Amino acid sequence: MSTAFISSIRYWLLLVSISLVFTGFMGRLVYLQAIKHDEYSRIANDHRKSSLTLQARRGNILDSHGNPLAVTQPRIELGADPQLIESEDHEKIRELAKLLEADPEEFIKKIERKTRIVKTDDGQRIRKIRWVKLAESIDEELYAKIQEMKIPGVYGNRNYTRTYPGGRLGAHVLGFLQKDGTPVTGIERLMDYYLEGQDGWRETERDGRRRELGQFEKQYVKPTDGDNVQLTIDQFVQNLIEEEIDKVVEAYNPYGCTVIVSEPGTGYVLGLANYPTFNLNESGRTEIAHMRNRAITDIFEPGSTFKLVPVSAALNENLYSSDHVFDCSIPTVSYRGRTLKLPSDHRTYGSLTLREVVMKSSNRGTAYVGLRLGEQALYEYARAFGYGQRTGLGLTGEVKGILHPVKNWDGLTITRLPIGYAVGATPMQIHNSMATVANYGILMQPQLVYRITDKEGTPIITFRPKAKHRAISVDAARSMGEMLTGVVTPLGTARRASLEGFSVSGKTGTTRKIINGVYQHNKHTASFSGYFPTKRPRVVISVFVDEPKLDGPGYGGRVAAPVFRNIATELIKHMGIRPDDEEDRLAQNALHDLNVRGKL
Amino acid sequence: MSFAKQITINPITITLSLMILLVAGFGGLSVVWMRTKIAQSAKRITQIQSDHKQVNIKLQDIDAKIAEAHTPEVLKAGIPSSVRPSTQEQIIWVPDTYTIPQALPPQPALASPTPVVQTPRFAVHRD
Repeated sequence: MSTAFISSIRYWLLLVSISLVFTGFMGRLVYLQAIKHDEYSRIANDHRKSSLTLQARRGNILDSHGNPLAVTQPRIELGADPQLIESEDHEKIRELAKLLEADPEEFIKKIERKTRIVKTDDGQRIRKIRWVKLAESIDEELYAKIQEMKIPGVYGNRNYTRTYPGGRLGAHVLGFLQKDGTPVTGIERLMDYYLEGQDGWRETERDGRRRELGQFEKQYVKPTDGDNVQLTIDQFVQNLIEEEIDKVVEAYNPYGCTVIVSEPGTGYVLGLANYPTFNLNESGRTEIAHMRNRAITDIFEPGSTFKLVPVSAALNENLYSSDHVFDCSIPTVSYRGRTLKLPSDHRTYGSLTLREVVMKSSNRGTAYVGLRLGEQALYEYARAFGYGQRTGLGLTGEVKGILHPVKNWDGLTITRLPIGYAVGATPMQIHNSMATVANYGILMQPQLVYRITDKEGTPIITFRPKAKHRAISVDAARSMGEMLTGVVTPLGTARRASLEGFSVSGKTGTTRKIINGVYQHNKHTASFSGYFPTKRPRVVISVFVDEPKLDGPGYGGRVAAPVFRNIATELIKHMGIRPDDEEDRLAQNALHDLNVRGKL
Repeated sequence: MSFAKQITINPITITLSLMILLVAGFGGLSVVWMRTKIAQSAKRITQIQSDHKQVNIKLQDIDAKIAEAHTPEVLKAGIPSSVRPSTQEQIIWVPDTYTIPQALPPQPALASPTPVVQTPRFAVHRD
């Protein structure tokens, strides 16, 4: 056992000293941890803790073949910290300006301003400028080049921008986002729930140099990217109709123009375009009026395109056969004890069969049909064809149109409604009524969204075609369709819509516009709505030209029908639509084949 | 009067103290080593995450550029002016029921008869 000796004074001195030191430490600890706890912990947390939002990527909008129509692209906002840029860097700044196609001296001026005066509660104060914007939005490639220049203090903030590769392609269908990411119109707004995705976040700590310390990661919530929305729109068809609208604009300088293309059996809209239109990538600099989707927001009197409603109704009710003869020379008619003036035709007709009434678009003949149907039936059939109610397309701004209930009709409505006056309809409603005839009497809900898929393209939700109701019988629809083929013959009003080798059913419309409550003689809305092939309809095309400027009235057969033909000619190739005789021959061969195999 | 105080140190106490110091020392160093390794791993993970993010950004940028290159306007611009649209006479229609024939058996040696390929019944030119 070893022993050590220590002086008693020194022992107590040491003990007291150590105790005092520890007491000091304890005091300081209490001061820091108890008295100043809140303040210091806040300061420490502010410096150390870092909560980072992980932005979810918005889903893409695709066409029916999977081609992207709207994508999310990383873009960089480029700027500089003037405090870090020395005068020897000015030459590099000039080079940067040249690369960005900007004025070099303007850049120099921006970075030479190092301070600014700010107003505070205590008066004015001078503050250092730490950020000046040099470019609003540059792409990754350009940013990589800028980084290679190694200019101190020049850096970019990355953000995600919605980009529309086609520019104006499908502008009214797609819609756009505001700068803050809020969807404004179109599919962007309708399908925002699926497209948006869910932002994630990461809570971690940073070191003194603001570097992330992964080991102190406390919470990590992964962002969930938005789903892709696949439309029924076909990029080729959309581009085709937009090019055709351009030609109409060039030829007739109209006030507006709308073209809709859809499949009658499914209600899938293959293309929808309006004029005026706008570039989706420059939506901030576009007039509001140009953003209006006229196909669903604008109403006008459909005119003769409405005539298929009373005639179909009459066929459905077996009131007339297609050979029934009407005397279209009589200007008045007695109806329920009153003498009604019948609308005039643009030329004097004598006796016309129902088929000829449709072919020549006789107002008087159609008015007779309306009178025979009666108010209530006429109203009910107009409703059955979708007039006076929203089509259900889903895009914002759609209007119901105007179809007054019978109790609000005046004495002339019964003769004016059958010819498409005293009713207000959107182009989509008129298109849909023609599609009902093409679809053997069933009114479909027009559809723009085909399905929702995840990032890998796996379908999540598929939107099946939706039939609303049957408007007329199959036989009535077939008879109507067959009658409408007469319109597209040299004797009809739309010979310019005819297609070699294909039977086409359609109806022209030429409506006088109402301005300040007065029907205008020189301002018309020309329209043509039709489908083909008549026997097995594959596609419905409607063309509406608002106020075409040309010598004489802008008849639908003159202005709109050629547009139908041009679009149809291209669609035949694109969709592989077989000519009538080829279709008949193949059908006959198939029958023969089945006969040979003994299956019939 | 003596101010000195005698302190007796037991060798076992010394041994135990040394052992405690040793364990505490090694334990402390181990904790430091572990923390260093964790920090290194975390740093690598952060770097990988950052690289992954960069790759994703580049992919998105490329996707956007591909989408732009696939727009009808750009595609049409790339078609040579000598290319003409097909005419009806150039199109051969086949029935919807037509299926592509299965792969033919391997070609036999020379002088063998040409394999009989069933011509689809409806795949004929329209007169």
